[in-house]
Amino acid sequence: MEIIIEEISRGKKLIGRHKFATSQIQIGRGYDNDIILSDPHVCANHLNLECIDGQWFIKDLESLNGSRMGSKKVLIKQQPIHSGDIVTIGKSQLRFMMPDHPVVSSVKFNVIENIVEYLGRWPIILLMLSVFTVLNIMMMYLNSPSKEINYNSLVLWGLTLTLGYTIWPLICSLMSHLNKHEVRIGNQIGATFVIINLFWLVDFVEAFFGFNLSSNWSLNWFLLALSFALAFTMFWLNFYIAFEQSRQRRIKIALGLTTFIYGSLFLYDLSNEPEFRTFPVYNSTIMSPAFLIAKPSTPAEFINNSTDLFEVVEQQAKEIED
Amino acid sequence: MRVLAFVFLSLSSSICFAKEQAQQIFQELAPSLYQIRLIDKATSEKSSIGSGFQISEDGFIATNYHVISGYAQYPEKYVIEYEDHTGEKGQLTLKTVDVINDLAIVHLQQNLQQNYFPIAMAAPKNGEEIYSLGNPHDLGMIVVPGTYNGLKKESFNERIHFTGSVNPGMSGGPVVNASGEVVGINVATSGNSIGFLIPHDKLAHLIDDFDRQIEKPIQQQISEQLLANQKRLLDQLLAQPWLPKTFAQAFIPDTQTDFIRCWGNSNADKPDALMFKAVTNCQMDEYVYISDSLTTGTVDMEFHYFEADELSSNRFYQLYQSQFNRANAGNRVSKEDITEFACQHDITGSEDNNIKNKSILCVRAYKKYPDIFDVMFIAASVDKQNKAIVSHFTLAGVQQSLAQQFSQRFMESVTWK
Repeated sequence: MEIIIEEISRGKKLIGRHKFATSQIQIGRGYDNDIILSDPHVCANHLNLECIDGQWFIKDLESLNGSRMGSKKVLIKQQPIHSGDIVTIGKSQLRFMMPDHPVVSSVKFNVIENIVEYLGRWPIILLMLSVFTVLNIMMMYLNSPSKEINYNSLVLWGLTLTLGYTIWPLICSLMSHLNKHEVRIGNQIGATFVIINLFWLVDFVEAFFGFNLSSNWSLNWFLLALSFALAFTMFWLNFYIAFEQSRQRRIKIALGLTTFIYGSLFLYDLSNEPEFRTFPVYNSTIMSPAFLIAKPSTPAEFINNSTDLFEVVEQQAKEIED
Repeated sequence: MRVLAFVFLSLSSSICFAKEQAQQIFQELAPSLYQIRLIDKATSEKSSIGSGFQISEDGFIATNYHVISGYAQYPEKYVIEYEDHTGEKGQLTLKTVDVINDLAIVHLQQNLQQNYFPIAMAAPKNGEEIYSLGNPHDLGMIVVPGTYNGLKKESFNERIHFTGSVNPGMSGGPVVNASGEVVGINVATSGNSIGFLIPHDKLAHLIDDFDRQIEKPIQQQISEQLLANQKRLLDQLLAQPWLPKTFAQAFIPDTQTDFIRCWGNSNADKPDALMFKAVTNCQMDEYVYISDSLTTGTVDMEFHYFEADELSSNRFYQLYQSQFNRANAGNRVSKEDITEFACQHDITGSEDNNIKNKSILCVRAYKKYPDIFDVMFIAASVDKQNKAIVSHFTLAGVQQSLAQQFSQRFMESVTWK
């Protein structure tokens, strides 16, 4: 009967897989063996496997360091092997499998995996990185208050900023490396920068609507929820790519991290809020006429609306006096 | 040479005459002059000083509102004290105030003395010698001779322009003519021997109104005065149509009033500036003092013009936006006096679409004085590719309906050429 022997690293990673159709297999460090191991703690002739009447037996050849079945049992005499048994010799491990060993049912490619794979493709990564860099350089250009613009320094700053933002996906990749998981740097960078670019989009939407809509329409909560969702999605994807973890655990960690970040920002704002504002706080977003789509209201309508404003502050003044 | 000598002689003789007269006036009137102090109850120390003078046989004393404003706002924190020419001290009670003209009348119950300052029936003539009395910097009562120069030009609430040193501590002291009648009350100085006085008729009016005023609590008196003052101010501002005034490529309103004065500047002298900027600032140079933390009763307007032909529209607007986000009201306020601002914004435009603005209106309400608000407006034009105008005004201490009328008129009168 055939037997499959897998060499496994101590971190349970598969190093090599051998299939034998013979009835006699020798394992050891010597070059006359069927499986040659380079582990110095293994003897020249360490193990002998023999198939008798369709059943495989294993025998330690009185090696120096011995052999162990599973985690503790030391092999003394010849004994039968069952499919899936793991034998430790020296510092190496071998797993024995019969051809009829059951396998888990095949996994269908899921949507997320497809997306992550797609985001990890070089054209996409380059596109996302260049969108981010170009947008940054453009904003720096638009905000530059002087007549003479040093374009070299703008580009340099833009690239530095992009490099700075790649630190996060690199950290995620490092973590997955430390966890002996597949390191998918490309996918991490692609996924992270797609989300960061979406943040730019949210900013634009916020400015556009803040500019065009009157104060009767406030998108603040919606936009806050949107940014929160984006941040959550980014962390979720980072963890999805970096670690093998249960779905619930991933959601918990991503949600925790997002809440922590937004909570800190909120607390920071709160602690910076003055006790009393003598100055007005208003939406001062303006954009060039190309982005103006709102139909203007007349001064009369605008002033008419302000009646509510007077009522609001008058009510406040009364409440505080009482 | 002879002419010069004559001038010198006549000058010295008039100085001698003035000196003698001043001494005489001072000696006669000194018993009716008082130093007025606010004493902080917790520490028993002076927290502010000023002067005051008796205006009737029965012990009523006139002074400036700002001398006793601490007591008017926080009666439980202070007592009002006087010290007369003999150094005797005692307590005073606050009877009535006029915050618009910075006047107050306090009452002395004990140690009454008969002499008092009569109020003049008519204003002095321009150039007439008048005498300011008071206790500058707590140094002791003095008399300062000076000249009456008529009413201050371009002011909303009348003030006498007096040439003579009025110093802190003399606030509330009387200014008398050669016959010892009160023609004004010391109130302010702008240094270099330019002083300002409250005309005597304001005090006469407060005395006429006295019986009606003392029925009401001080806070209500202030409240009514603020309402009346802002009505007079805005009625005057809205009385006639405003005329368009050229400002760079735009028209801004000329309110046709002399008490709002405009100043202008631009960066035309800086050829390497990214944008051409011009600014016009129109304001009243007076305000109503309520307390150290609250001033009101002002109107100010500001207009900024930006133009940059070489810039792309997007860059122009990005830079222009940063000029638009820090507007504030000009008057002094604190948490005790007022609510925070509440704001609204919208895209607005005139009916003929001559201009489109992003307009912002913010209001806050006074806590102690019902129906009085501060209103701040700012608008940024958003319809031209490379030029823009920002128009802004603040009204401090106004009623809703008048503020709304003013706001609408203001919005309608800023247009492109």
